[in-house]
Amino acid sequence: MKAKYKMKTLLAGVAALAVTAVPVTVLAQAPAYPTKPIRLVVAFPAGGSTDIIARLVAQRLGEKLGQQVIVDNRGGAGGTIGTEIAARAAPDGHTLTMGTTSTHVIAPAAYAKVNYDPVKDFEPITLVASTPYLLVLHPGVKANNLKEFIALAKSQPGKLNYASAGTGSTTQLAMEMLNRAAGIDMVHVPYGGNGPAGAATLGGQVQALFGSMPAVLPHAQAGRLRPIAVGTAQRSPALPNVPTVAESGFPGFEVSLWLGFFAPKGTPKPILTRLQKELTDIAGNAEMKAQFEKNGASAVTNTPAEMTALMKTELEKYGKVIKAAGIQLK
Amino acid sequence: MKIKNQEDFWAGLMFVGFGALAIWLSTDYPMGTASRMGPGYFPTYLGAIMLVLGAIVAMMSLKSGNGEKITPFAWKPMIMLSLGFLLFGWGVDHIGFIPALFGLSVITAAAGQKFNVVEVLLMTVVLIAGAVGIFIYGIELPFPLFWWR
Amino acid sequence: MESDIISNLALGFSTAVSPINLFYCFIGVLVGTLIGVLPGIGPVAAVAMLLPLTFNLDAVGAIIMLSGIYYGTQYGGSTTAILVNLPGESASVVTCMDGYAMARIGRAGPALAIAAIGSFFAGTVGTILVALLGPPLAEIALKFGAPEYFSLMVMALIAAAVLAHGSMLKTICMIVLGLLVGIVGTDVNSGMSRFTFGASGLADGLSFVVIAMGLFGFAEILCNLQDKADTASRDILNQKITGLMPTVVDMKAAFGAICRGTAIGAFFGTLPGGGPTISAFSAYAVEKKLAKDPSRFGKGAIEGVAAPESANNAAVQCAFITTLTLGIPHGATMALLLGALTIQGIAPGPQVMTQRPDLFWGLIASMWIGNAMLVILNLPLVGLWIKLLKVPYRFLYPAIMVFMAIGVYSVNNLDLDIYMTIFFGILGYIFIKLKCEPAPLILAFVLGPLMEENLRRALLISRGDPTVFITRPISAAFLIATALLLAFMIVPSFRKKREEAVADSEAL
Repeated sequence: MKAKYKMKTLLAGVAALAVTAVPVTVLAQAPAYPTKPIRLVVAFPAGGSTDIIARLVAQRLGEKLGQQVIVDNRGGAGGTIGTEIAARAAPDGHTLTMGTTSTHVIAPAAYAKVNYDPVKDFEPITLVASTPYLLVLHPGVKANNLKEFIALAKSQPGKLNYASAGTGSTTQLAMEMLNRAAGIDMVHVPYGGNGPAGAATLGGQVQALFGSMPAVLPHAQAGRLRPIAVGTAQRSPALPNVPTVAESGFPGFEVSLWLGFFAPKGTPKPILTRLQKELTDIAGNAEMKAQFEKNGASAVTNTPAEMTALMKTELEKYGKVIKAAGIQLK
Repeated sequence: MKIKNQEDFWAGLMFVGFGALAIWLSTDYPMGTASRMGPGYFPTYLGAIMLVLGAIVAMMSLKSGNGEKITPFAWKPMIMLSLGFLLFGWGVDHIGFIPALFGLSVITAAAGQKFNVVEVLLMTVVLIAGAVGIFIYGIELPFPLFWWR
Repeated sequence: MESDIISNLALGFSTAVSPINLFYCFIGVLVGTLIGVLPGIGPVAAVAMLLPLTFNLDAVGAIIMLSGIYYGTQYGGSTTAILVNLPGESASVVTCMDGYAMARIGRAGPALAIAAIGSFFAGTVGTILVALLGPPLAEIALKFGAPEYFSLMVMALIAAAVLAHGSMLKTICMIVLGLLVGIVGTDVNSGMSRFTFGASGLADGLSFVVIAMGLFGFAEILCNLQDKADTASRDILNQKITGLMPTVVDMKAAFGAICRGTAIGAFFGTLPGGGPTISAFSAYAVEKKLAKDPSRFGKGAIEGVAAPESANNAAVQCAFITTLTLGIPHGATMALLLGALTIQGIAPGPQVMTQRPDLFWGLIASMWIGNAMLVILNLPLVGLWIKLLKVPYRFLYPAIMVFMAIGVYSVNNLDLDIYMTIFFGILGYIFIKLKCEPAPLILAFVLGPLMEENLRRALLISRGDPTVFITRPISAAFLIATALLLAFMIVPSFRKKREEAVADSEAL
């Protein structure tokens, strides 16, 4: 008796569903973009520097486009999970992603297998920001500038430790580049992110960190960490007295993390052009620029062609370091 | 040889199994040395510890205990609840939040002993209303409500 | 120095009691409590979702609201732990043990109430501690290197074994299993993925939500449904409800537990990486060891609820110390809060206290106010929650399933998470049948990765020298404490074994 009732119920339920549902599959004409909220996939956890910049831009972009831009954090595996999700999304302009050097240059080079191609699966739109890397030392280290530090490292090969945000992170690559350029040998101690790496350097567990500017700037400004060189080609406006690595004897040295907007391959050109215009406006806005600088980043914009070229040169640059340092992630 | 403590016996075997699995999986990872441990070091030794302890538990179970049998497995609830969950997971993206919840609620209710159609449908409606209210409107989770959205 | 504190607190309170900030505080703790009650969705998700709202608020209001959400979720998490054995987050796992037991014997009211009261006390004391001892404690926290963390984790895991109610050997196996489950994911020291079977969803490890929902929620429901008897008779509440509020006896018993829990929570809260989870079950372990009759624990001892609840709340409040004064976040939620501050243009760090005293002290004052609001909110709700328990189980468990399913899926939108929850659900059911305790497993799962990471890191920095664990004073202290704990555990069990052997031989 009970079994019969259950069967009846299931059938009734299915029938009810079928009747109440009227699928509305009207193929709409391409209406004005955007027609619904836009999903901005950020392949890093909420609260990190990438996420903060993404949210700042997302809010302004939403205002300009007339539809909400919702940040969807899909962190994990060095940014590859979120980026893969974005690559597979429908190319209708309603899914975008915040790509960075980590997701579109380093991950493809360092991981044995990545389920997306940074060039083939994406349409670059424009960069929005760039965060430099700052070489900081624990105050107890007896070196006041890069020259002294290198001398110190040369005199104690294999004795000094440096922290990184993880194996394969830009913080490690930057330091490895320096190691190779200067001919020194420091031991790499990986941590689970910029936060723990910074904490370790503050506490003196390691001597040095080539840290992401947003993470280490407050500590450098407070004097708890000693900044000795900045990795960009130009000096940072936040720390005008700190020379660049290039100035200190390594011309051409350049390490920074760029952040830019990408759309899945196949997104219509008009949408891409519109987005590029809006984003360039946003990043050019004086208020936004100031906000970025507070976070240790600088606003940068360029064109899709420039982005593709940038990815290519950087792939070569970092690819060399990754191979030389033997970094291989799975 | 009568197994005195059924629960401990099977628990012991289970741990031996898990330990062996851990060791086997860890052979893929480099061991390194004690002073520079590789990724395989820790899991291998943990697996070994669990294997040994599991064996001890199983052996001790043969000696002390009261021979009580383990109560039988509830297969029907296990299958029904799993199905319901699976349906929900698949359903949210394919047929929508509301139909998925409907399925989950009905199948789950069917796992119990009593199944009064009216009660179940009423409860399902209440649950769906509550869930939509809290999760879709309140927290704004980005789930499509039906399959055409 | 004293007058400084008083003038600072005065500034803080004057900031915090402005009507608009009171409003933000209230919204924060209310949302936090509700989110905490919902299984799966935790403070990280809540703060992340409400972050955009705060862009339009001023910095003080924003941080007051967001932090209210954070410690509000601790309150809410204990509610589900007590009522339906579902831990809202890792710290609530401990509350499940005696809290749910108390619910089953009709004492859910006193359990909920003492959780609220204990948390309030801990929050109050925690606020004072942050105010007084903030910077010095943070400095000590910085001295913690890899060896210290390792030794701390070892001590914590041994303490977890104390939580065992049954066979010690099986508990140790569960801890080891928890450690192995924690290994799933990317290894920090080498960058390699372990135990992931190629699934990218596992690359960052299994999520706590999945394991907690599976082991505690799913398994519990399976267990309740297994009886052939009518499900209606398996209502959670088998006995009459005996009063909503704790009795005088309860309060007396709980008072010591609350104080000790608060102290333990304050200690562990300031350490980065420590936090509410270690605080909660260390406090529980301490109470169990100090109790005159330890066998009460696990069956509904009120100290078993009071201590962990106070500890985890104290830890949450004190976690703000390192975050605010050092600018170093403890965990994902803290990182978000720091991010919110950064967006507002405030760089967290030592200079926050001097540059924005209204923010710093206003936050501290509002934390106290928030705790007061929470206890005023939650105590009357106890009656409401109790009514929930009276719902016949055949309606309750589908509701739980629905909330669990949504909670699990909302974390990552991954089908994988659903499969893993089912897997752990069935596994948890097997564990219950084989009388293996899930709590030590999940605790080892949370702490294990930190232990291994720091062991290897310590050896890396010391270039392979193992004496570093003993030559550094703090690390040595933890290891000595561990040895003592072990001694305390083994000696009585030897005595018990001898007693058992004697009793067995006499019975024959």
